[in-house]
Amino acid sequence: MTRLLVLVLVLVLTGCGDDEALRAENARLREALAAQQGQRQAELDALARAASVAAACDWLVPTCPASVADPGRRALAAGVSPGPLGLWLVASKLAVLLLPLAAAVGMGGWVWVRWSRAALAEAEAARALLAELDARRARAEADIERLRGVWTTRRAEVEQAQAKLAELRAEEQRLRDAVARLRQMRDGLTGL
Amino acid sequence: MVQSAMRLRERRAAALAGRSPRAVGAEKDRAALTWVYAWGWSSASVIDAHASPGRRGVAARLVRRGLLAATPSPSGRGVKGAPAEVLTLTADGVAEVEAVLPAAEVIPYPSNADRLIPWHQLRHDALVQLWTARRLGDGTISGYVTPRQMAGRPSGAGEKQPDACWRWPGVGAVAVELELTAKREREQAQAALALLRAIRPKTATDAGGGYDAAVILSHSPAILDRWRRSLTPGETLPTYERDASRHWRRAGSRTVPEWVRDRVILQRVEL
Repeated sequence: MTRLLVLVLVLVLTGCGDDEALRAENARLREALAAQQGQRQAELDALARAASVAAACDWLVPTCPASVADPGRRALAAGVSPGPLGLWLVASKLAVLLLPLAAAVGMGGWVWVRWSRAALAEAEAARALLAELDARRARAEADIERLRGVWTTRRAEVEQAQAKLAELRAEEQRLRDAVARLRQMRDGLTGL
Repeated sequence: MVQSAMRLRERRAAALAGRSPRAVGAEKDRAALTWVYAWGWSSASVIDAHASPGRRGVAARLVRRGLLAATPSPSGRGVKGAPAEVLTLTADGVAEVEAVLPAAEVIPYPSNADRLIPWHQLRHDALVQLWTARRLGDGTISGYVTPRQMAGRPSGAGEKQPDACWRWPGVGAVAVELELTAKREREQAQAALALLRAIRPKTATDAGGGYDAAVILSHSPAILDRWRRSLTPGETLPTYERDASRHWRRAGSRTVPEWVRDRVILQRVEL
């Protein structure tokens, strides 16, 4: 930059006395200037790329070895701004960082879809089955209670019937005895 | 001839059963005297039927020995079934019986027994004695209780005292009633109720009557029919009580119970 200023100043002070020489010198200087400009631009681009790489490497989580990130870090420290490449690299890093997460999420979702949902559905079905079984058990217990009542009633009726039967048998026996006794007496009275 | 004599000897030997003829005779005498003692009086035919079935002469022998006294019946032989004379125990006869009787069976025997003979129902009582002797002899009954013996025992209030009580194996104490004359309505109802009380079965709250069954004997179908109506289960029998002027008046009624079917026999008899 300083050389460029000196050259311009020499041109101004010397005038255009020797035009050809000056033109040639000017052209040569212009070419040198253009070459230096290209070289600087390349250097600036390289620094910008390095800064982009460093910025991407240090974004969120340091991910690059020092040999890769340090030139860029120095460029950043010197005030070089990262170029558009940095955005792509950040995006790529983000993608690289998010990929396992997405994969994990995807796997989790897949696992959930593949297994947990079925398990949940089974659990729900099992819960419904348990509820149904509870209801059946309650109904069965009610039935048992009702049948126990019926059984008790029937049992009492059977016992009552048995008692009645015993009474009737006793009565039958008593009547048989009475008939036998009366027959015996009737026979004993024959011929009076 | 020889065979019949042998059979007669065999029968005598069987009757004696190893005892001497004198012992058998004494036993017959004792049975006859005990019979008269129990009934208060008797007749020769009844005594012989009891003491010596199939052979007569026991009563006559006891009269000759002065143990029995014979009193002619006022009706003589005019009433069929009634004895021509009635036999009672003399003082010696009473002594003879009471000498062998257990103390519990001693019943004071009246010295004027011949004047206490119920002439008005002589045939009735004689028939009861005769049938008792026969049933005892054929083993139908195992014992008997006479009205004289019953009088000395406690009985339930309002229970009919039967003409005799027979101890009937397998049955128990059977009240024997001989009905020769018809009763009027009130007497019939009272007699039926008294009989029901006497034969009522034992329950948890009632000790029962004194008898297990009753036999009502009569020669008259009409009398038996009247008794049958009075003892039909479900039939209502009127009850009576005396009013202040000692007249009977109806006081209520009783229903004949079901058990009477099992406990009463009505039997027609030939006099």
